[in-house]
Amino acid sequence: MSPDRRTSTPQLALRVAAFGIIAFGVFAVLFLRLWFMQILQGDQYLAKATENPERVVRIAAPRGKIVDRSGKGVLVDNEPSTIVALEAKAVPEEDRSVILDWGQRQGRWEAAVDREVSRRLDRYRAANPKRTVTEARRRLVTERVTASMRDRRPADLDLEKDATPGLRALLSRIGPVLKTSERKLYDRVVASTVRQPISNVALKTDVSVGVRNGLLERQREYPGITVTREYLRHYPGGDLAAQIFGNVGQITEKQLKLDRYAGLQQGQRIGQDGLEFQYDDVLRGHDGQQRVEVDAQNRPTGRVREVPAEGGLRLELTLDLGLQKSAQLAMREAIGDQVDKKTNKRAGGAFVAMDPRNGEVLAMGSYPSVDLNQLNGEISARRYKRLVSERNGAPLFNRAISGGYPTGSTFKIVTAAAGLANGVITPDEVVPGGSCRYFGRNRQEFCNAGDADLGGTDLKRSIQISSDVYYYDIGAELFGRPNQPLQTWTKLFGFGRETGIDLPGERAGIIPSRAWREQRDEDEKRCRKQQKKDNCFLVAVLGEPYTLGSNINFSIGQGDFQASPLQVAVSYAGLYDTALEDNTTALTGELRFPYPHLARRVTNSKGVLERSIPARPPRRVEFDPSWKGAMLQGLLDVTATADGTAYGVFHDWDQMQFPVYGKTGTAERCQDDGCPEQSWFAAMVPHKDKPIVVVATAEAGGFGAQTAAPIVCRMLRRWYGVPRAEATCEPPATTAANQ
Amino acid sequence: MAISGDTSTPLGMRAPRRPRRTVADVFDLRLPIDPVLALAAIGLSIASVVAVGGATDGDTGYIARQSLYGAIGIAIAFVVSRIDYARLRDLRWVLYAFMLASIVAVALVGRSVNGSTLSIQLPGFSFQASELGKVLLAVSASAVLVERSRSVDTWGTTLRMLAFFGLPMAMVLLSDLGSGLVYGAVGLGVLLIGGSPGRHLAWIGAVAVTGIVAVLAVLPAAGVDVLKPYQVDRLTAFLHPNGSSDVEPGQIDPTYQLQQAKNAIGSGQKTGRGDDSTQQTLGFLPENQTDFVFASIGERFGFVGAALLLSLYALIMWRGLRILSTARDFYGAVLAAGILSMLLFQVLVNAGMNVGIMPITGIPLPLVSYGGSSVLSTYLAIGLLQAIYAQGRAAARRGPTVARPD
Repeated sequence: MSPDRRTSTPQLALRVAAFGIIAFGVFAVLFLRLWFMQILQGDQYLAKATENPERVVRIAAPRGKIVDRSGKGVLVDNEPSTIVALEAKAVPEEDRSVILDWGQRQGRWEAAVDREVSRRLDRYRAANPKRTVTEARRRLVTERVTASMRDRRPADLDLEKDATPGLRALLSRIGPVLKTSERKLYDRVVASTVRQPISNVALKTDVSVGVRNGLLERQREYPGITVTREYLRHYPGGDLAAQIFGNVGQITEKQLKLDRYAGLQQGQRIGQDGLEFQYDDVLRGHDGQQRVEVDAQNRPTGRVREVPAEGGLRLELTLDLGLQKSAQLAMREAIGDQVDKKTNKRAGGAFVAMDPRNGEVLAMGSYPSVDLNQLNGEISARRYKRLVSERNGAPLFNRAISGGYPTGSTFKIVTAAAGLANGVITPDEVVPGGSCRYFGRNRQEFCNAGDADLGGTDLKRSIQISSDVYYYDIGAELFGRPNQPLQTWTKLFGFGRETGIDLPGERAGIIPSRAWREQRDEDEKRCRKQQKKDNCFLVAVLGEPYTLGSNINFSIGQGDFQASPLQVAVSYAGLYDTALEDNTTALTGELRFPYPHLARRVTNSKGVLERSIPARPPRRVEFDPSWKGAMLQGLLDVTATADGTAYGVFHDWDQMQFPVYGKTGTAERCQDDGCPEQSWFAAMVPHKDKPIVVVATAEAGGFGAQTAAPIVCRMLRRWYGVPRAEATCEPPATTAANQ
Repeated sequence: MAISGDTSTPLGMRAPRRPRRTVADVFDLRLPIDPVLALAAIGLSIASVVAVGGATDGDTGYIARQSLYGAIGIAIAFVVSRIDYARLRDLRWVLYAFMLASIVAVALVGRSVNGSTLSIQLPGFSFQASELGKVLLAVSASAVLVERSRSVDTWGTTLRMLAFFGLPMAMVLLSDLGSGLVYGAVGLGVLLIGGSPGRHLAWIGAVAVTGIVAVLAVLPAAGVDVLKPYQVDRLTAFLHPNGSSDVEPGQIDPTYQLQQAKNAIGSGQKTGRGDDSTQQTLGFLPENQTDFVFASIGERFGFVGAALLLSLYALIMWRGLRILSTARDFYGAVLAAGILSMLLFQVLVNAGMNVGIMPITGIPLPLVSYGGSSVLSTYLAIGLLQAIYAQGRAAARRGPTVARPD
């Protein structure tokens, strides 16, 4: 040990060396680590560092407008709105389950009320057979039932009792900012969650710029709250064609995984139904992005990179706004707030107008309708449910394509075609009259409506006066023929399959046959086995065979047969022939069934054509011109001759200029006598420039000429611009025997 | 008579005998200065001002204060370098007592920042006792060890030394883990160069490792929390860079901090992002003028800047070791070892923390991190190194003092 440097021992030198080595090691490690991070992995760290300070804000693209065929009548457009929303993930799971549970209990209670109302109305009807049950009556009964069952109604969810403290804290913080009470906000959370369990809750739409900026600046203080500028759908027509558009809603988790929605982000609003769904790719546009640079506190620094949103394209429909309006008005006036005795709910109806040449749907609607703007606004869960309820006539249900009805005598053209094609009848052969026919071993009785004896009829007359016995004979004869010719021809006329219209939710309907009955029995058996129930109520009586009687019923569009108004329209469009326009050339030897469609062209927002949507060429079925001629003559006689079933409605119609080839129909939907029948009318006008096929039906409308024919008449009047004075379109006051 | 010289010089090694003590004996302006060491230190100060300026977005308040600290520090270093450091041996107990007292004072009346009480508010200056304490410990511990240098290879000396620096270390550890560890590093450096036997050092190392493992892993698992859970999280965050630990509300996730620091350094790449730096300008880099100033430099100036900074420290270490081995006396060598150990440990832990290979502690980067106490204390240490250099050079010029009597 030496205190002197000159004599420093070897041991000290060794220790200094050790120290030096340690120091060298330290620096070596640090240098290598720096080299590794900055030179070798620098790119990755740079990527992380640059993505760090950006907050991506979605800029909603305005959805494309939907306009009518003129391009001027706007059916659906957008209203920009600043929405303050609560993110779905910010709603505590516990709250969500409480709300959904409440929704279920509420639904059960409403169903119980409906059953009770139904019971009481039936009693009322039994007591007062003369009086019709109006909507006002039903409302009164409903009110009484609601009052009597109030104690069983699930209590409304209460902010204080049912919300979790977390949700309450969140709402109480945001409440004052939005100038809305917490209670109201909670109601909105409930309403939205009941409707769409996993989606953002719009707490307030259309907030002021000041509120918006305030929230954006202090976003950290309001976790789970988003402020976005969205485009809400606005419907200038209110309840016009409300069923065909469908709603727009946030993309669901399930949808995010679909190929159809590849590349979309959570929160994107897409068409969930109707045309919005069908043409979502056209209408949607591309959302933009605003990349806002933020600091570590998530405060925007002011530097913004923006990818602008690209609005959706405009969809031009084949609909004619004027025709649509007049049809809905006619429907409302004809049906009003009647109650359908079969279901004890509001009676409904539907109409379709179509260009028979190419299937362009000129008008389509379902009655009752509902103002979509009302449904889209801030609306309570209860009110929304009430508006769209079955009790209110299920106004969002598109009866024109999804309704399944027996179509009554409008079906006779199919039976006639099948009879002609199979040689059962000829156009001119006169079939003996009589009020009833007896078939089978049991001498089962089938009669004309009102047991009337309409005398001997040929094909034309059978259509004109709607003789049932004429068609019973055909149905009976065809039952014994091989390959079920009636069913085959029904299918050829477009029934029992989807028409292919560009809307989701179309129903194929039912063509009754032996195979169908067996299939239905099997379904019922499987259902009972799977669900371990005694009865699934798919069939009234299990193992009921398809008999001669079934086929005879089917021959006049009754029995198990079910079709939509659109299918009826397609079947009548098949009879359209260009020869009818001028009466000079001969009829073609085929039926042409068009494919109905609603979209005509896609244009940009300024109306410049982007692409047109071509109509599919019609489906052709060979058919003898003489058969067609006879059927058409019969149809024309329905409206143009004094004996015709719809002459009363069309008695002052200008048949020279606009010949109406029509057919009434009256379908029985229930067995008891007081039950009103479903009214049908189908018409085809082979006008040179504006040919049209119109079908209307009213669920509790009575005879075809009573309700449906006047509706069709009014639509035609509007379509051809006939003055009201020249076509009254009034239902016949006296004759009730028409069918 | 040279009082201290006689008391501590082993037999047969006479200190240079002087007839009279003059001011020049203690304070000599003509003494040489190690230019490399001086330039390295000043270079670091310049880097510090640039880094702090960048990290605080050119906040002139920060820049001015840090420049001022640098200037005062350089002045202190200059003055200290003119002093014959050997005189400090006499003051060893005074300095030791002052150190303990100041640590206690801070704990009692100090200002609490982020939950730890580290400093005491003096007029115009927030005095961080533990920073000055590091240097005072090096001065006093080396003096005590040199005093007992003849029995340095006994357990008695080693244990005494452990107690000597263990006491302030434990006191500091209570409030500031990082600084406490620096005290330990100073003590170890003194023991290493002071001549403690290798097996003693090995034992100390073994006990230290066992202690760390026990405190961080074994005891918490057994339910005994020596440190608060968030402290353990901070210390172990670098071991699991991707997994987030349980973060108490109000506390910043240490893994996040660390990740942001690494993003900052890594994104600097070769030459840095300059004014495009986002990590620091947007506040993602925490404490970017103090604990994470190295990351700030790494982002702005890239590998070039960070490596240059490390090179300056390496330069200081090199000159320091040279000074150590050319010291006039054993005390000078041991003192230099304590100071170098302090600097090396701080650089290792701070820079290591920034690049994600060391635990998160509040140890400043010497001379570069913003803060008066740290800068001034470090310059004090640099000044002492210069003093050892100066005395060593002066003695060499005078020639050997042992073989030739005066």
